Amino acid sequence: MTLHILMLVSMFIAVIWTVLAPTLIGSALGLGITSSILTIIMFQFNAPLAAVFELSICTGLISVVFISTIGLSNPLSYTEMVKRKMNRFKRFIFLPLIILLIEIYFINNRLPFDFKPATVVSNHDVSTIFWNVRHLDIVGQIFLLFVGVIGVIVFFKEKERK
Amino acid sequence: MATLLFIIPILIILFLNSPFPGLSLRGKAYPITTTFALIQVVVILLAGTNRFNSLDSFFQQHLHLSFQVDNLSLFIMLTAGIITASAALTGENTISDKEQYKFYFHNLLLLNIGSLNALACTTDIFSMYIFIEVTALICFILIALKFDVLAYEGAFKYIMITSVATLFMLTAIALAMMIAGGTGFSQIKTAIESGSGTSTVMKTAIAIFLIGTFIKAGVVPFHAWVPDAYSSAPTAVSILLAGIASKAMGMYTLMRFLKSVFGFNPQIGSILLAVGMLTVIVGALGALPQKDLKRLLAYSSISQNGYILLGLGAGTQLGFAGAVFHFFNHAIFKSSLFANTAALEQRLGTLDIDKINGRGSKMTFTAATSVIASLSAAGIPPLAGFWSKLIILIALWQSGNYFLTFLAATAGILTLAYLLSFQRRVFFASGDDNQDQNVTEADNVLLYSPLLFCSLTILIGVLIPYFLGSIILPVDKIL
Amino acid sequence: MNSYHYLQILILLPLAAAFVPFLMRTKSFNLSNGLLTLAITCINLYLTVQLHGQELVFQLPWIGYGFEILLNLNKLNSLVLFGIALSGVIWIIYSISFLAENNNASLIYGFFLLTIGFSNGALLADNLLLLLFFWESLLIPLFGMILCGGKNSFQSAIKAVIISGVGDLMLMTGTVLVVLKCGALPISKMHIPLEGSMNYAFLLIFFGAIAKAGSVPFHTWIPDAATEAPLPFMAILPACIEKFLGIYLVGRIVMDMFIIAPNSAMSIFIMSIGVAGILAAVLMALIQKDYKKLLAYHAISQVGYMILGIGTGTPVGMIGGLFHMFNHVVYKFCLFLTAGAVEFRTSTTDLNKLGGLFWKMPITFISFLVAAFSISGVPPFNGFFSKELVYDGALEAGKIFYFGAIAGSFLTAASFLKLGHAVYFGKPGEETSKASEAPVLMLIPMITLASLCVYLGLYNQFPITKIEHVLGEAKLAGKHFYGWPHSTALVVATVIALVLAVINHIYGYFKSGKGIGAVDHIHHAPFLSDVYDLAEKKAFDPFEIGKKFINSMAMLLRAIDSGIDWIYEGYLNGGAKIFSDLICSIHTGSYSVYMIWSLVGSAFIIAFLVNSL
Repeated sequence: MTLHILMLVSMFIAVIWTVLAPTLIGSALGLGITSSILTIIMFQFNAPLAAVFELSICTGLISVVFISTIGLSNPLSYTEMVKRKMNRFKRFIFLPLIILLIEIYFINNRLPFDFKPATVVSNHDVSTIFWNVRHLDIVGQIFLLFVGVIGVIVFFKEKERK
Repeated sequence: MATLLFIIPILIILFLNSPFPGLSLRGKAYPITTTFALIQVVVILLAGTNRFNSLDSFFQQHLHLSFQVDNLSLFIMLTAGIITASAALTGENTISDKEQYKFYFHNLLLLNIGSLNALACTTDIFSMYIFIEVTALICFILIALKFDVLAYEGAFKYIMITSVATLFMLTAIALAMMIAGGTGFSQIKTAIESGSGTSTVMKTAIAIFLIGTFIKAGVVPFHAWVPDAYSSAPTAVSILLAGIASKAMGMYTLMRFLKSVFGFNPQIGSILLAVGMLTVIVGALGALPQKDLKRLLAYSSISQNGYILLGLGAGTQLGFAGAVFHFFNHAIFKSSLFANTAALEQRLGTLDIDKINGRGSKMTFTAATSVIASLSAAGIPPLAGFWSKLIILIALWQSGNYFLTFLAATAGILTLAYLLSFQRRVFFASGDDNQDQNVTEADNVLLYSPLLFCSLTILIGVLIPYFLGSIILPVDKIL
Repeated sequence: MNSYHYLQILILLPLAAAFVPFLMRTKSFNLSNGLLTLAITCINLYLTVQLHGQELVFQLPWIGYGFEILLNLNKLNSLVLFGIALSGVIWIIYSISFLAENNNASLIYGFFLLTIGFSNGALLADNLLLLLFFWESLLIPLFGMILCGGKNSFQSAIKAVIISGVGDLMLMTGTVLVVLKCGALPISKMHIPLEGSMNYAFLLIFFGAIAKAGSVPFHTWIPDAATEAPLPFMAILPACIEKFLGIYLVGRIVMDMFIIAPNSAMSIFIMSIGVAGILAAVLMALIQKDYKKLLAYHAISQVGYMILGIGTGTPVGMIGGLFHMFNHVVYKFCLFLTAGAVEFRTSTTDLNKLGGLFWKMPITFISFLVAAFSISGVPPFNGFFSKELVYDGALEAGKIFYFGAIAGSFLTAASFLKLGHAVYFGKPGEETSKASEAPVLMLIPMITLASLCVYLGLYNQFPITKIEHVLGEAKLAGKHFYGWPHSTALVVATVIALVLAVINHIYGYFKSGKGIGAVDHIHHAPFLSDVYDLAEKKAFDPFEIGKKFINSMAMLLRAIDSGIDWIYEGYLNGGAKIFSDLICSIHTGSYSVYMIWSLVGSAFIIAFLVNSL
């Protein structure tokens, strides 16, 4: 139990770091840490399939997207950043209102709970799931790894050249 | 066989990037990629003969990959092989001058073909999702390989808009898993057939998965990334994107789901028909006023997507076969046209139709292949494109959508209009007298793939009786 | 390999081989391409001999709806296949020598191979659509071969294609009618009674067939092409292969597709067409002043005999018609080859310039003589026997047809007397004085064909028995038609006609003093001269009439078109432009706009599916 609480706290810290990080790289790093902690929590709660999915998507994929994107972009100057932030606020000023409207709609028209969730029986341990059930995803991860490495090499080289 | 075609690209990449100098094949990436792609074509064509079963079963035993190969997968893998070979050939002249980037380009091509093979043969929606994402990422990097602002913009737009699709697909998978208790095709199918298909959650899952495939395929109104991505990418990448990558991610996934997962029903059919018709018309109208050759081709690609959707929306076996056949034909003629633009760009240095203004007339071979491919795209008999469009129209008619059949046939005229007007302005306009007259035919390496594609178009079109009954119509059946 | 696979080889081998001459078409390849073509035609001949007498069927899936690639070898088409193959071999032996110095020789060989392949296909096809496919494909080599004649040949080529195209269009329309009625039934199993729309279908297909055979009124391109196109083209296509194909199809529709009763209205109609063709064309042939043109008109006129014979619907007429088809090919081929030999040595075919070649080119003359006797129906050459059979059938059907036919025979003999006199006797002209005998390679085909004329006449039991097999025992009712003609009266009548022709020639010769003027008294006869004047001005040419008609139609349509154009430009085109500009303008490149489209689209789709599924 204490372990779970500890995990939750550390994940929370990682999330805060992700949002508040001054650079994009820091942000990406925070996201990676968040999702890996989440994976561990899912394993702890005996949901290994979900854990593997989480690991596949967030730690692998999203990080690659992030890093490649960073490779393509240049950091803004401070004044530009402030301007952009104001713009963003202006653009999203109606967002809370829209969310509120949607919520009102769904409160009035409840989604019918008309299905029976299947119970995922998992009598496999983590390593079985990892290596015997979802191993195609693992190979997929290897693909992602290659793509990520090539992406990073290509973009950072080109950035340096410029 | 599928396992082999999936594993070998990784092994090749390991060899290519081997840290030991003796084992490294760094300089030979181009021939290796081309050869592998062509070998894949041959292997697929020999698939019926079970020649590779013993070798394949060895890998199958040790890797336990739950691959299942049917006619549809074979079709996709065949197309992937042909298009990858063509992209590799064209890449020699269109990727940046630095050897290093060419090397990475070929690495990515190999990864891409491996990932497409896995995508075509897997039986699990989550694995499918993973490989869709791998392909999407590869495309993202490839588009940016041109290293200019436009290319970056195209790449960004691509990854950002398709990330919506990613989100949708993932949500759909989660919802489906919640109901079915797993992510295998058969599991979900059983769940839908046993009555869960009518629950709101499942309906939502189906709907948002459909949208995800629409975005990935680039159909109206989810098409906005297509013109930017296709036109700003290096031409070899445009070939890959238009020919197989975006189609496999969107259209193939859609076909697979219609066939093996949630099946066809009239509501999905009407969505497909509505979106398909909109796509055909908006794509064709959008292509008409374009001044940039690659942009025009991108819009044409959108428009042709619509025909595939119409074929699927007819809901009959004939319509499905027509859609798959059109998928293949579109890959062939659009890649041929893109390869021609590479030739034009090499010699004329521009792809602006107004600036070209007939200067392409000296490039006889390019002009000829381009005209043939355009005629196939417009559905002129006896080229291959005519037959696939005809099958789709017949299927539409048989399914009772007479008005849509009429509209789709009429939109064919628009297709002819924009393709022929660009042919006229690029190759047959008289042009100004003071333009440079010493334009010559492009390098040989840029002529191979148009030659291959045009002979395929003509051969398939003329010998259609041999293909129709034996290959195209049974595409819906399990091998 | 099963022998039915040979059927596709018959079609595919020549078509595939045609690529070689098309790819290597410089003059230096003339000989090698010629030898290749010779080899292919020899294989073709060998196969047709091997396949003769067998009945084979070959099937492959095709466009669906029950239409397959259905090839069927039966008694009739195996005979015609053999005929085409044999004439192909003879033709190429002649052409290798004749075309040796021609720049377009390789192209001609290529088109010839295409012709062989397509016509084999048309003969073997047992499915109307497949037949139509090959039939139409034959227009390609037709057009191409005429074009090989040089600069002026383009007009002739266009004319040939348009006139043949009209025929093909009729065939197509007829095919559609038949397909609507019978579906994908093989031709050999049709046997449709003539009633309702099938009357029109029959007429349309019949016209399609005789258009290919070059009968009146679809003939006008042949004399034009005679002077423009290369001579080997004239010898092989209009005189030989197209006759085979056209008459084969006429025979096929009369025997297999439809049921034609003797003395029915349709039979009388067909016979009228036949007789009209004989007379109209032979009258034109009579006054020609050019070797090749004269032969071309005869090629048209002789079709009339075949149509007349088949149109009688009686066994004797049909056998006569089909036998006449083979005979015609043999002697007309031979005649064209002599024309070629004369042209080769004197570089002209104008009768005014020719003369006195009897001593210079004796072998050519003898071949000409045999063939000319044959075409005029002099016993005991082959033409005589087939014509007698046709007369027999015509007499049975009605005296008027018989008299028309025999009048044609008289005029034919008269015009050949004139031709022979003008070319081989009389005073040698400037061009002819230096002429010598034709090369051996050109003589061999001529001698072969001339001896075939004699052989088919003297030993007519062999060919006629073969043709009797085609009709089948049931129709023959135990009768046989070979040997000397049964009716002595008919023979006497024929001989009288021939003698009259000779008297007429002598009269004309003494009147005008020249061989070439021997028929001038007919030319300038009171009524005929006016008709001839009009014909020379092409007043009877459906092509020219059609051209005038089309010109006036074009003026009218242009007026209508500009009106439509105005609407199109103003509204449709403008509308499309507005729409496409609109679509362009909303593609602003803004990421958020695109995102909004996607989300709105998604909302619609989700709402629709969730509410309706």
